[in-house]
Amino acid sequence: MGTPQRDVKVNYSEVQKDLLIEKHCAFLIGYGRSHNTYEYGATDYLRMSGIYWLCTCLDLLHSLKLIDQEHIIDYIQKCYDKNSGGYSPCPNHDPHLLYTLSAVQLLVQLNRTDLIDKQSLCSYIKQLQQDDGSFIGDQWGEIDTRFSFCAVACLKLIDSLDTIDIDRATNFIMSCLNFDGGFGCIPGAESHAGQIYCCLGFLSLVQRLDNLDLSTRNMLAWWLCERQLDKSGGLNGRPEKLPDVCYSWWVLASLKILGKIQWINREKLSKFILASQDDETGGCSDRPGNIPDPFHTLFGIAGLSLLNTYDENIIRKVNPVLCMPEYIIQKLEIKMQLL
Amino acid sequence: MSITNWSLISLLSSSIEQCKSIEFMPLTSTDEYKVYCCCEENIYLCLNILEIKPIVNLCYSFIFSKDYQQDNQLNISTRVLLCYITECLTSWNIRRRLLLSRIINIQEELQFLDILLNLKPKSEQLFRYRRWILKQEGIDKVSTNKELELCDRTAEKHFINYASWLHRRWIIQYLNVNIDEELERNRLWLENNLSDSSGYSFRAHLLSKKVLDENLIRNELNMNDNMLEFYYDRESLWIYRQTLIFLAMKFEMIDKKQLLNKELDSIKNIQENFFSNKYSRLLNTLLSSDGKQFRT
Repeated sequence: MGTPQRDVKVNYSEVQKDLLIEKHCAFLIGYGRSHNTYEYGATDYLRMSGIYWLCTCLDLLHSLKLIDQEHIIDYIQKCYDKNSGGYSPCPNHDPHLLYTLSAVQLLVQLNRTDLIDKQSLCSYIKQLQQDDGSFIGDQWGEIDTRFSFCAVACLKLIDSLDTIDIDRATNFIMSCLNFDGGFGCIPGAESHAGQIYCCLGFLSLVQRLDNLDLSTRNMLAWWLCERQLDKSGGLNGRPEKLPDVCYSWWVLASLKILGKIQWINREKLSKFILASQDDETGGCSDRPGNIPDPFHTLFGIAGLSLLNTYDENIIRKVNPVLCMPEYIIQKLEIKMQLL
Repeated sequence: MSITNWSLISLLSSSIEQCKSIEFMPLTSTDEYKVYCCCEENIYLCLNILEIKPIVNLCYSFIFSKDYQQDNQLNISTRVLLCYITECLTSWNIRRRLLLSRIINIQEELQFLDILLNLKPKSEQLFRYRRWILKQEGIDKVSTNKELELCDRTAEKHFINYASWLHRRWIIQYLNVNIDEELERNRLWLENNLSDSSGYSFRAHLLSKKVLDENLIRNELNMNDNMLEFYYDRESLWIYRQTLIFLAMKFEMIDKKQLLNKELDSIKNIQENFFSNKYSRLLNTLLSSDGKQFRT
């Protein structure tokens, strides 16, 4: 009886139980300024997303004003590629749909959508759609459901969803549904919590969640809440993986879209996220005791937001589909479907 | 960016080209000179994990420098950078262009990727680039065995390796590999890696490509029974069992109630534990489910 599940041991009598807001803000701001460190250079290839994680997290913690916004806007414009209409992660690097979404999210968040050349952005995204409705991420062309999500999220944020063929795009997403109820990155690929989030997010943004029948929704929600590990309370992304704070986002947001977030043990997960904070440097890591980074810090805080662990005066409400502060989505009157 | 810096990167590049395996380890530098790597008989190359930063910075400065944009220079600087930062898409794209203009030889590049995949067995960009090259090479030139062996190797090096199993799915489809032969290879692989739920997910994927009937599912369940007899505490085996039931329930012909009841009976023979309890909860839910009360 009681065979152990693959999990980590967390000594809950000794770990951090309070949310370290000030330390997290200092950690995030420090990260943006650490230009001379190796970590900075080594992350060039995803920098645009890094800035999005950092700014969104600061905004959720009511602290966006602590960062030099002009500097960031300047950076985003340096990453704009006139030829394609997309954005690169870092000046000199090639543009890609992933970083284009991060750039658009940032410009929306910083209230500078006036800087977006809507027309070229739309034609950039349009030419990435394939005949089967799927999307490639750049001219070298591999297909991934992540890119479908990026495409509709970008277009939704600039109110131009009709640029692409939504019917075909939806059919492609549905073709990636597996018999265990999950979604993978292409048809037939293994179910993965991150890809499930992208596919559900896609269906939510184009308001086509009705494509999922009742039994599929149940099966999928079952699969998702099976990601919560018994002992640590953390969530993993696939069976037999160790828990990781970032899945507090991918799994919870998916369950929120399905209207089944109550299937997760809230208290246990909150404790796991709080235990993954670094009480010396600030920031969250993938699991207790590891090195913190902005990626896990955002998804830890965003997870706590979805769980309503804290009052809105402490952590702002996050939008479960776009992973941006809800007040911005409300202001823009962006509509999406939640079950 | 001096000539000496460029010689350093060139030297690293040719060492990478010649060696059969690469590893990162800490090496000790002295006051007089810094140690960046250590090469043994052109076979084994050890890169100094303590000196990553200067090399990465140098590579980047050369890759984006106006004075180092010749094809052979880019070949060198991106080759070195990608050993250190394998997910740098822009550098792979530079190599894609070099390959299209025949500066890079396809066979040599595949060899380079082989060696890098030992170092980074779950790199998404590496596998994506490899698939792109195989498409350039043309379908008749691709060696099925070599690709399948590479999948085995990377899957063993990194447990539940999403990128590796994705590559395998692509190979099966692209090269039209015989599903029954692949099922047998997979069975043997799983005997040695029975906790790998990605391996089982792949097996279910193969099954779904076949014309399924109750017999086939029954055979799989029996095989799973035999494994559970000895390894009842492996979650992967239980998840695979669950997947088989989901797969079976997809057919109209199968009497679902009978199938689920039979399952509930058969697991009574297996020692009860955390996973078996979860599994029987699921079976009971599926039996009684009106679609609403999936979980309480």
